[in-house]
Amino acid sequence: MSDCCQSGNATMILACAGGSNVGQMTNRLAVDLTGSGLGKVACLAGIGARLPGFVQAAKDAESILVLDGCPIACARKTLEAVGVNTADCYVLTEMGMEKNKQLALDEQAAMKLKTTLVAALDKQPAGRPASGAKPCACS
Amino acid sequence: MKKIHILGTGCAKCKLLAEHAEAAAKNRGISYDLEKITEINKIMSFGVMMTPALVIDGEIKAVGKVPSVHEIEKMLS
Repeated sequence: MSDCCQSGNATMILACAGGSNVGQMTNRLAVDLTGSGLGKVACLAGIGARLPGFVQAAKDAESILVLDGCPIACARKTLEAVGVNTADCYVLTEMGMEKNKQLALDEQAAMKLKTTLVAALDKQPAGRPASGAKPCACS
Repeated sequence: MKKIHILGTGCAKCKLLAEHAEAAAKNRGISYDLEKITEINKIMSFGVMMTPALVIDGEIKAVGKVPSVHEIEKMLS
């Protein structure tokens, strides 16, 4: 359960978290980006299961960051299946990571990808707090 | 009578959502029963993981944001 008031300017981060190195890397990045205050990781499985609370949360999110491991794009398509479209999708294989079945993640690769993502997100004009910003302004 | 649940642990946004919901119901002249759910386990029993959330007659209408009075009026119709 997230804290109260995780809304407004908090970007919802959804990762495919699939059964490959790139899938697992999306989850790692989602957690790291959450830790850096760039958004808040949420449960893609709940959306896939069509649980009303999860689907509504995605529909109500001001911005959504989708992290897919490969071009199959399960995370993006899961959202589209419930009527949520987002242009903010990143595919790790298109960012230079090669897909394989090795689930142990390379730390250097994770850091490099995170740096690339943070740089890309910082360039975006609105809808997402800048790096380090706190998503909850509740008093 | 509309049953309105406000889900949230009691922060400013939760209170604002309750105010908006009451105003919307009054604007539309709808009789309503508004209940604030603040206990996390009860909130989760609605299948909601982000707050504040608005539930009308058992249907989840908004999660993680505070809709305007006008938006809630539409939800009540």
